[in-house]
Amino acid sequence: MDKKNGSKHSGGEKVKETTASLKNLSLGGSPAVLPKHGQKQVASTNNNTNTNTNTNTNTKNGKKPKKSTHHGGGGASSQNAAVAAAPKKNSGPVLLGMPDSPMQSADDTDPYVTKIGGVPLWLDQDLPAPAKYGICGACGKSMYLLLQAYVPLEKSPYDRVVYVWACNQRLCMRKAGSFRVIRALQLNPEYAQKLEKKSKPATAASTASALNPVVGASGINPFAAPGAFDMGNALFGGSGSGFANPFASANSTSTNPFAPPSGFGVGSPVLAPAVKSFASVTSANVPEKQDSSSESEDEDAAKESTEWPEKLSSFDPHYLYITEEVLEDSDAAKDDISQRYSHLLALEESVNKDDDDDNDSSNKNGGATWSGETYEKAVLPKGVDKAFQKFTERVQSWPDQCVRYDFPGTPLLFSYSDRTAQTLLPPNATQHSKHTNPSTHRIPRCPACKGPRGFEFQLMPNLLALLDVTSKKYLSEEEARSLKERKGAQVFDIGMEWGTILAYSCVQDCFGKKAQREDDDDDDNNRGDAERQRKVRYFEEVVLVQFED
Amino acid sequence: KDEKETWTPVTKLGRLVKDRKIQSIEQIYLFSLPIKEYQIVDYFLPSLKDEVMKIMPVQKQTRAGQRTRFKAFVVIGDSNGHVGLGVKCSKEVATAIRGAIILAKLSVIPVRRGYWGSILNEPHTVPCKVTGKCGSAVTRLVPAPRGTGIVAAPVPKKLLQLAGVTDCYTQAFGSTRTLGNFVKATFAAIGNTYSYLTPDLWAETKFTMSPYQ
Repeated sequence: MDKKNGSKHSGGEKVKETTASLKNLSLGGSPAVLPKHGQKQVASTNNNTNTNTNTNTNTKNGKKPKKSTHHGGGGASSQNAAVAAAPKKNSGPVLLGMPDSPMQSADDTDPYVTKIGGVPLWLDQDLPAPAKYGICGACGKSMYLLLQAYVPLEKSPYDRVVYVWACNQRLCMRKAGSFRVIRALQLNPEYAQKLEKKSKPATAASTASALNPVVGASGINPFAAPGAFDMGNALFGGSGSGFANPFASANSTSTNPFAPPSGFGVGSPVLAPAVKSFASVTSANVPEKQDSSSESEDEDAAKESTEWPEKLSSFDPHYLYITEEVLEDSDAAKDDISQRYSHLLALEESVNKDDDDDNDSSNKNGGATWSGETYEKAVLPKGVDKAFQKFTERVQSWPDQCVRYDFPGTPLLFSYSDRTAQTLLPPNATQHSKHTNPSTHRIPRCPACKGPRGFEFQLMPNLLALLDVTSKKYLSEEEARSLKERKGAQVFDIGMEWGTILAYSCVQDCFGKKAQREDDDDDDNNRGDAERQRKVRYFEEVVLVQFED
Repeated sequence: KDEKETWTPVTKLGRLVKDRKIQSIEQIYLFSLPIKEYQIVDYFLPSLKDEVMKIMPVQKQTRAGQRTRFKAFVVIGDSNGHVGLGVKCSKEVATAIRGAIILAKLSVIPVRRGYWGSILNEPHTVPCKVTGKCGSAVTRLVPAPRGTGIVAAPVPKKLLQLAGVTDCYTQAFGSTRTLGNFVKATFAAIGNTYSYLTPDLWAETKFTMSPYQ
């Protein structure tokens, strides 16, 4: 990706050699993100070995699969993390979005970028989301885009983007309607082709390797790190369908390893047009279509206003790079303590050896003893509870994290005692620490397919610090004027304030009922295909917010 | 490791502190804002010294024998008006100590010092007689003339030294053998120095805006 990785170049080379071997793996594992734009780079040391075994258990369950990384394919950027340590936890690694360089507003044009702030970019510029999604349900002002992430799922033929909006008014914070999460789906013909070809990997492999001269020597590279497999898989991702769209893969090889340090800005526009042109070509081939649809869903969508204001209020955009969460023990702190209190640590040894009370109770205080102590819970300041302690502890190994992604997985709760936690946890959960696993049964089901919703990602408070939400530049004109009148009082009307934002989305990643029926009926119908290709569907998902106190 | 040294705040107060919008910890005390991140305290009081008073094993009887955990009492202070007390129980000594240090930082409290007689030089003793109670242990702190030193049992003496009180008489009531309660009672007494309304505080205070604004 960019400056983050010294190892990027070496990773790129390894990838070329192992591509041939990759074709033998299940190609359906990763509708590759990287050929398009190279942003979503993930270290998945486990993805490789598990794509074959896990494809059935992945994401389609409500349960968290053992090892699940859905953005198939490790990018070079996270090879550092991959090489550093395999995740210690048995359950699927959580993906973290860490802030990268700030984006130039002029570069904010690629809908496939994962970014914080900025303006929302649609998968199809002519099919934006209904404008009501950008308006706060509590105050009616326009909301700011917090996150736009390109999150395609494995085994899915759709381009999938999530948008998170939030209102920047302090008064709206605890009211309903001030946060919104939208999921956008668009059928991607490349992915669909790849999924079909998954059933014939052998022929695909041979033809692809013949056609793709960029690939180096065939045969498995025994020295490739496990992460490299995925990176290659991702970079050449649809190598299976590579011959169908040589521009995509060629572009990715040429731009990805050598992307300039300034970030995605340069890389993505090069790639995006390649894809866009494909889409626009197909849509050009399809006549009218907009009015001829007989589905009421589409009619409703067309009726909803899609008029977004010309100058959208937005935060300054930043890129995100994705990495796996790797937790390490805090050895540094332990060393410090063990030096200063080594005599006390010796005490631990002696006590463990002989379970004898007598040694400990007497001391030089003239008979005063410390006995009679029992286990007591720590006295914590207001607002600090077990959940908050776990939260801060987990965040400490990667303090920069802005987004945590784990679909479908479990969120990292900010507190056990607020309304959100009550929705997620069984009652009286805090009294028995065994029951503090959030469950989703109280979360409303997906209105389109009536399927369950699962936790997808959460936003972390570092985002607030990064986006500088209380800065005066986000004041509208009237607000700025009234501020001057108050003569020096600090601004506190603007500035969102939350602990964490949890987003729950449809586990089955449905495309809407009617579309699915259509899929079944019109499989061979070209007309249906082309029509579906263009359609971008927007779904509102459930968002839960946890606040301090 | 770089990641360990940089602190990214998680709470609103933490963000304000990191942005240097708050100049001193006294501003936080003035509004009784709960401090949830110990790095805030570290930021304002870098000279805090911690001291482990005692590690004691506490035991619980289980079917498979006894389960021993270690309880750490840590006192922290800068000898200039701020003290904290942290108690943490854990299966390992190191974890207990580390946890207790963090809790001690979260519980840092300001100490008001005053004069015994003439108002000369720096305050050196408690401003008035204060008392604190925990369980059955009661500790009473009485102002002392300059040069007296801290007249107390070793346990509260350590606490008072870290608070920055130079001279003090103490009286203890109740069961001081339970040193856990004893030290908490002294801590409560020290904390009460700022709760006590003395004549010089009779003037009406002008309310200022909270740091959140």
